[in-house]
Amino acid sequence: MIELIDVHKSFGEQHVLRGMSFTLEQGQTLVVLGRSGTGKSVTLKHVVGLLQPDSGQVIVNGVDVASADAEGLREIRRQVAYLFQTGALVNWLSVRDNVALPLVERRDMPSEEIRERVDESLGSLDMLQHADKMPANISGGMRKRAALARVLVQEPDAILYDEPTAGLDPIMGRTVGRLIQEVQSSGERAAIVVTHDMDLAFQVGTEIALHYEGQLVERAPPEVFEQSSHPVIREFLRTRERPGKASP
Amino acid sequence: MGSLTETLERQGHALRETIDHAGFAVGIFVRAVRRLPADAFHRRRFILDQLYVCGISPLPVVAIVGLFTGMILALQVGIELADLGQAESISNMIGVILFREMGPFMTAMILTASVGSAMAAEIGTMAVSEEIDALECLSIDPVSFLVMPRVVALCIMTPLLSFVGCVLGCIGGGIVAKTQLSVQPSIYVRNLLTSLESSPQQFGPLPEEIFTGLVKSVVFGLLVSTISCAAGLKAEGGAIGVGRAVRTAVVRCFLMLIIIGYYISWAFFR
Ligand SMILES: Nc1ncnc2c1ncn2[C@@H]1O[C@H](COP(=O)(O)OP(=O)(O)OP(=O)(O)O)[C@@H](O)[C@H]1O
Ligand SMILES: [Mg+2]
Repeated sequence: MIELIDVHKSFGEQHVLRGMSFTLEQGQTLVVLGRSGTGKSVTLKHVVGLLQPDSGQVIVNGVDVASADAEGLREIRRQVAYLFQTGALVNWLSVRDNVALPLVERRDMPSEEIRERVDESLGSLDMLQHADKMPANISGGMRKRAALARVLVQEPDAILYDEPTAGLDPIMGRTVGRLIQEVQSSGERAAIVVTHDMDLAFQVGTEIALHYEGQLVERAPPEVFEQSSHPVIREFLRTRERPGKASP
Repeated sequence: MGSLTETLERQGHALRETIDHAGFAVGIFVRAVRRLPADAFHRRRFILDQLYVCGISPLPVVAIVGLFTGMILALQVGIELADLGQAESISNMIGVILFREMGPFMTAMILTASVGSAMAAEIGTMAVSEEIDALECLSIDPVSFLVMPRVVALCIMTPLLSFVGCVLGCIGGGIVAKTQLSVQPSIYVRNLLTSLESSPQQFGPLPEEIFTGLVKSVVFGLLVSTISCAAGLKAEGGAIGVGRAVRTAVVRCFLMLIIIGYYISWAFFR
């Protein structure tokens, strides 16, 4: 349902995406690893049309994102939700209003139903008791969870997670991992998970790939990816091996 | 030679950027107006919030500045008039100057510094922290969501605040007239009212002086809100970018207020 074909993108001199191509089908969870600043967030922004490729195509459910009109783009953004790296909550709305925002803005849903769905979504992330606080008054991890609740409440067909566990404590990180697994378990959703968290990568990924020099390389199921001899991947995998834990 | 072309190039670049931004601001304004009929009711809560921010919080400053402007005017003009034995016509001068020019301009300046800069900072912070991108991902038009309520609020509040400032200015002038120039309050008020009533034109129930002042205030409200929001939306590059956006917003507002203010006066009084 998401397809990138030979996408190139530069910012000034900096050639960030260099022929990025991949496809993602329903039910797949693609984990993208990569060093900081390689362009992972840039790739995700192309999928929802926040950035336009210099060349190449981005296709979501058969629609070319670059040439979609306003209505087409709205449809794409309804299908594909984006969890921002920083959370990106609206600062002057409470957590509850933030989570309700996408539903309120559709303007066709009765307010009781909105409230139900918002509470359910906040509850699944253990955020109900913070629902009436303002984003400035909760911790970074809570903001992340609130942002995740805002994504889940939209019930999208595909979710782009930009570092969903960064800034969370390890226990909450695992909870978020389980939540992503749960969201994906229906087998009807696609997801791209950008992360540096190797535990999360192996917990949720049906496939893992490395973002390297502007392309996705070594894409493979976790068990195969683990055997890769790519030096950067070996470096990443080493962070997973701890003393006392049998390494593969 | 090289440095000359370099300088020219830089100037050209700055000029193009200014024109770009002006075009952007006009575009924003048009979009905000277009979204108004469809979204105003839906966003009534935000509009009310902004009415409070734009109207109530700057009120004390506007009141104090208005009062003292009237007092300074009365003192400066009054001394000259007293020399000519015309101290009693002080209120004609004060009414005309305040309602036509000083009131709207002063109010817009205060609003630029207090409300406009805050708008640029708020929206700028949202822009650099991906919040605007997030809104777009939720298919929420940032112009309708952020800009429209602010433009509406400032358009409503600038004339009201300006009127309050003018009235207080007249009161301040009256106090100085009484204490420093020994002009009786009754004469002061009578002269003030006749000067406003005897304007060459009436616009409905309003004398020309007050009407042009209100027109000016509305236009100033549009300018300050649009320029500030546009600068905020264009912000990029972290905290430095937000700082730059605020500075751009304030400088551009001041310049536009004085230039457009002149042309409005010109249109009415030439
Ligand atoms: N709007 C932009 N304008 C200019 N340069 C940009 C822009 N967005 C991203 N870049 C540049 O593109 C490169 C990739 O950025 P990106 O945010 O995608 O990195 P990332 O892989 O997500 O890194 P991280 O893991 O730290 O989040 C960076 O060097 C950044 O400076
Ligand atoms: Mg990133």
